[in-house]
Amino acid sequence: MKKEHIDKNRIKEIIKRRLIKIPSKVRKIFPEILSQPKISIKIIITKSYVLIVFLGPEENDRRKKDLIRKKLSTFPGLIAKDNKSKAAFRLEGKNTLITSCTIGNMFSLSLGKDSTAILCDHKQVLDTEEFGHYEYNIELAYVISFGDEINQDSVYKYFDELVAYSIDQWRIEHGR
Amino acid sequence: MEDRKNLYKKLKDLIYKDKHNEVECREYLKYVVSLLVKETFNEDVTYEQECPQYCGRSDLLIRVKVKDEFDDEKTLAYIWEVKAAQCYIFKTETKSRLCPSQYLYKAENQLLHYYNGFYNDRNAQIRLGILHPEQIKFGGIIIGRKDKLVENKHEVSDVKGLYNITRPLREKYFYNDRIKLITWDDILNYLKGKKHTSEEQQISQRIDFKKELSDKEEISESFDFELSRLRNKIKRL
Repeated sequence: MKKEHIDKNRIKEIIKRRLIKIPSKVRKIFPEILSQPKISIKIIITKSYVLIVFLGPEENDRRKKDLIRKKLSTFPGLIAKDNKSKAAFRLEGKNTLITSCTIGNMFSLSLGKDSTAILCDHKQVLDTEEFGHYEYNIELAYVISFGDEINQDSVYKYFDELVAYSIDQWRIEHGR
Repeated sequence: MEDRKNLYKKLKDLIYKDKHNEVECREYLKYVVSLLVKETFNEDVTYEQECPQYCGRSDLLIRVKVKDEFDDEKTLAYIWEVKAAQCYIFKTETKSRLCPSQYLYKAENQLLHYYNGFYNDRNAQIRLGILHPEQIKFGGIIIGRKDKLVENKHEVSDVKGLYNITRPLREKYFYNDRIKLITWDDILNYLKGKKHTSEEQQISQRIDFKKELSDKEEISESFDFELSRLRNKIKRL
């Protein structure tokens, strides 16, 4: 099976250009995590999607100790592997913004091809037989699924557009 | 500001008309400036159409104020060439290869000339508040719509497949991250979007879905990095 590969420096460059090196007036409307002096960014690539998650240092440290994370998944329950599992949101198309939602005991996202989404202040809750109750918050994440249009060459362009879209939505929320 | 849903509907009506109407459609680009500019900018955006140049008139010039590497403000000017949604982007050259349509060739050529014109015209730069020619930037080309991707003269059965090869090739080797190619449907998608806010969906029972949860084998690559927002300031001190 072909393994997808992306250049993390290109992703980093987009994050810096769009989200870090920005006018201070604009920073005020961004999610709080982007104002922290140090931001941890986790990028996960599978054959069907790229997930880019922004974590504060505390959340990042806490997650390192979690057994469920070590054994099963870095973000358990966030993205369904197939279309059969129950999921709260089925993504079809570009630019879905999911804000302040809580999803329990089902997957948050099921991905259609060539879809893009932003998660802001998202809570995932799981009650599993083996690991008991587990919940975590994602302050900010971007999801891009591969398809006919989006592949490992074009993923940067779609990530860039998705970040631009998120900023526009934050501007609209703040009446700017 | 007008509601995005209304803007979407109005623009969709325009781009799906039979007659070329890029001048009317161009008005809607002021609502998607973030898509047309690579940096995050301050609110004061200047949007100029039909900007005169020694070799013609540039369709669209967007001026924004951004932060430079020393945390100071600088002005950037992005040059865009706008063709109608009714124009094809590519055409079949053989049964197995596409080439740019006459409209895309023309747009590329115009964009190169207008960019070069602004890059070398000190008077224009002074008028635009540009201190250095490097602050003049390629924007790109807006052209076509999803049913006008390829003029299929050779009746190729999987013409969308050829399009999905040809467009990234051109973007990767010729445009090289400097020039963007955008369709009018991309603009529509950007205006449309979808929102889910403050929803709560929960199944109360404890379930065992360990198999479905485990995704370790699916992951091709995973990496972490940290970004310091203060790095530039510290360097300066």
